[in-house]
Amino acid sequence: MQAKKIDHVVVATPDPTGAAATFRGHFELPPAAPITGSPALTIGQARIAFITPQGGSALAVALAGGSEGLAEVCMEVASLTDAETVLRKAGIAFTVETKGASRALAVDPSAAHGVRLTLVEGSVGA
Amino acid sequence: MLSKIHHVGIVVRDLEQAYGFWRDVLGLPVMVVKTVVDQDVTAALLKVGESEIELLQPLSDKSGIGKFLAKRGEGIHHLCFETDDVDAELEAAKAKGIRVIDEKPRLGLAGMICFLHPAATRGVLVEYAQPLDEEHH
Repeated sequence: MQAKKIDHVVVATPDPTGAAATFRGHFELPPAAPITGSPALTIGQARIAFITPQGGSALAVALAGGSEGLAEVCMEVASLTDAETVLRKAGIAFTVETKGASRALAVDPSAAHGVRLTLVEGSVGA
Repeated sequence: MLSKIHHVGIVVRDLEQAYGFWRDVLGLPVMVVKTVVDQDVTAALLKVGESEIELLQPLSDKSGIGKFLAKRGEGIHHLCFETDDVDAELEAAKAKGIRVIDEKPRLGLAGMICFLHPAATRGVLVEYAQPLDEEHH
């Protein structure tokens, strides 16, 4: 597997619009198309998405505890099928999720050194 | 002007063990490994597209990275934006009233660097880095 690039990073926040405005004001980053319905900004070939985690996810639990911050890295790979094969061969647990219209592999954070890492094929859209 | 994500910093317990995933499974090549003595940390930069993943292994539990590891475990530590003028970016941040950690840029693994305070950036620890000429990718 060869991860091609960082597609986006996720800032988990209870206030996506306010957080995006903060980053836009501080860093003068142009807006990007929403990612899974959440506001996003462009930085080089990557994007920063501002997302309120849903339901009983680990991120939602962390936010409920007052934690706000960088929560996920999403990388683009050439082939999700190949990535799936490599992860299985390496014995790395993952789940298949959907990000907007895209399929994504969410790597078990315990295998990725505490990082919530998702792999996608092609850019994630709304 | 901020041009791209230079790297995402990730704290790990053991660099060699971390290579087993980030280098060997994801296929990210290791570009540079350095020990930053005054920060008690060994760091490796692994390339992913125009950006890098920075793996940070603390060398003591008294360093900032060591304290992070003890308190929060392995995980994402910071987000670094590349700039061609770190002095100007830091001054612009201060002029906007953004709370900073470093009053002046200093030498780091990614070049001349400085950190902003996460309280000003929604809990995200943000670094600015101006790579030294020979380190431009």
